[in-house]
Amino acid sequence: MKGRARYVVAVSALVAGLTGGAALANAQSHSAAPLAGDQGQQIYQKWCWPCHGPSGPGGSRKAGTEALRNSYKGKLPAVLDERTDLTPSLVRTTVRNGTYFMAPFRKTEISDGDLDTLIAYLTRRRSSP
Amino acid sequence: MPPLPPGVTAQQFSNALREFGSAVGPEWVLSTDEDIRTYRDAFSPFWEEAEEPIPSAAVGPNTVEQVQQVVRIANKYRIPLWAVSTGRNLGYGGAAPLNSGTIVLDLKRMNRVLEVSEENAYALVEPGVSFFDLYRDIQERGLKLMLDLPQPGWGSVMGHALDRGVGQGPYEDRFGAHCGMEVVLPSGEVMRTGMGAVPGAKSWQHNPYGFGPFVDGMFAQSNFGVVTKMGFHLLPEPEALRLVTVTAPRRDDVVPFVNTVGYLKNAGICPASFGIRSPRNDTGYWSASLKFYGPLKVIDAQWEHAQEKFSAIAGVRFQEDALYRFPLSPDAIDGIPNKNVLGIPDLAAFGQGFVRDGRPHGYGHYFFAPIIPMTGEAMLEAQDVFEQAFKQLELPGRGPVGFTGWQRRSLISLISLPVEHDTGKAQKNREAFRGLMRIAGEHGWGVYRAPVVFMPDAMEVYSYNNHALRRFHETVKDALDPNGILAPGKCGIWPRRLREAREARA
Ligand SMILES: Cc1cc2nc3c(=O)[nH]c(=O)nc-3n(C[C@H](O)[C@H](O)[C@H](O)COP(=O)(O)OP(=O)(O)OC[C@H]3O[C@@H](n4cnc5c(N)ncnc54)[C@H](O)[C@@H]3O)c2cc1C
Repeated sequence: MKGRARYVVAVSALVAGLTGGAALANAQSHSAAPLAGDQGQQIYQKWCWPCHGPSGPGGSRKAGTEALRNSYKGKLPAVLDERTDLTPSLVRTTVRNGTYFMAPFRKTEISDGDLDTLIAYLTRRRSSP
Repeated sequence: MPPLPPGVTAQQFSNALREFGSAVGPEWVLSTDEDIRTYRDAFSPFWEEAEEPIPSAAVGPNTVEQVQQVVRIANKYRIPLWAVSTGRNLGYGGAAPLNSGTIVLDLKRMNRVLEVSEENAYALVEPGVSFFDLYRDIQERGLKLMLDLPQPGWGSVMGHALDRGVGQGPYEDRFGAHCGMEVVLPSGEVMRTGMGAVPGAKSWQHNPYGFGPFVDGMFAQSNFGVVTKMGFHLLPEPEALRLVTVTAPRRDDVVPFVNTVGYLKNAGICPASFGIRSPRNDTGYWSASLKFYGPLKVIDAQWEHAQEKFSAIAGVRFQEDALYRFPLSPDAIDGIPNKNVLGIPDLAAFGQGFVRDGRPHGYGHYFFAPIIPMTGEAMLEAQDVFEQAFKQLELPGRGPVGFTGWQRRSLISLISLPVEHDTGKAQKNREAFRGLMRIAGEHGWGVYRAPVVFMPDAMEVYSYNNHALRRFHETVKDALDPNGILAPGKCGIWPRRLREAREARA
């Protein structure tokens, strides 16, 4: 190595344990975290959270949340389970048909029964009928 | 009304569905329009066009015995089946078959983690076990084991390996990391491979070979059987992971640069998959992202040694991007942007590639992924050839920017083409894809994997000695699957009764 240019630039030495994760609006800390809460919440955590949970900065970007944040520009919450305007038919159609680059979900993944439970969870705070 | 399998009448089809229903439970025969929609390839290069392959139904067994029954019924009616484990093969075909009318054999419900050994660091899983599922299982049991993952965590540990997918860590060759299989053959018979062929086997997941010919490779990227169990070797959780970037300033540096990366990989100093990018600008012409897994003292020494080796290149720069120490707390995990390299599944890759300028960007993409040698000369040749090809095929950009170091001595030169819902644009991209495949073939490069609809084209390139390899595959196919019911045409392998169509086309 003598006489050679040699630079070591420590840009972001993230030493895990020292990085305090920003408090999230949602209890789940990452996409593969243990599932918690009632059944509807667990279905949401398992199938929706990895793309629709709270997104960055610092943590991983969630495609669904990023896309919705920019579509709604603050008019509606970007995180799906903070919404109060979701209707059962919108949730059902989106889950079974997909949209843009979101692929649909099959009954072997989210059964009809689980979809009903998920819909109940996502519409629990619905402000108007 | 979904398309029927070729040569099968509506009456036969409805009888078959009823029999499938008796085997798996009627609720797991999925044949409504809504159901079928969920089995189309969401990233289809033929979206909504006449040629888009549309399945006729899906059948979802829950046990090996049910898989056997389904296969036997398919033989009776000569209805083709297309097996998927989680069917999330986006970019390479999703869950959709090659031919319209095929029934998707959806194995997602078979989602049991059958065994995990910390002592010998392995797992035995069913097809529907996703990386999320296996990760959670390991965490719940508190085992000191790490997964080696592709970017999307929802895929199947088994399905991804059967498509010979790429992991992010030292066990990057996901098929290579498997050990032992259970397969339902096209006759409906169950076979176990390797040590698993010994009744009451004690070492099925400990040694892959057993005795006699090693046949496991015949069930990956093929249509010779339905795999129902598969063992995988896991990585003991390391003490630490260091991520670094090394850059070299000049185009001519590529030969010593790639030689050094290759040496570090083959000498076991830095065995994980890596990325080499060529931004071709002032930040350095070449940049390699390397990962060192292991005890801190060891990876310190490995990194130091790597820097010594790279320092033969004038102007080389080193950047330490991150150092992680295991076990990671949930809070720490949350703050990490690229969790995959730590063996933690997520879907962040969709956030990176599909949201542009903050908007949902398009409808997905599909991958052209030729294998080139891991040498600087080969990278320069690939850059030049594909730059020309991009011009000729009127593709935007200058060709591949990134190469993935996969397997010890090869690189994948990954190019993605956008899925278009405008027919004209979609057709242009398909022609470009086929053009890339042809041009690659003329230079001695074949793809490591292909989107389902391009599989027959991909196999065309593997034509040495008048397609001796494909003729061999088809000899095996005819012997194992005389009725041609498993995934006809997959990877260009057609059963006898459907081969004439290909030959007529040629
Ligand atoms: C943004 C993005 C990032 C990606 N990153 C990666 C990456 O890092 N690495 C990578 O390798 N891929 C990557 N992919 C490609 C692909 O999406 C993944 O590899 C995915 O995991 C594959 O789908 P799956 O696991 O659901 O497998 P499946 O769809 O279940 O199966 C894959 C193939 O194996 C066959 N098969 C499945 N199960 C069986 C069985 N039991 N018996 C016989 N045959 C079977 C299927 O017919 C199919 O051809 C990426 C895709 C996208 C869109």
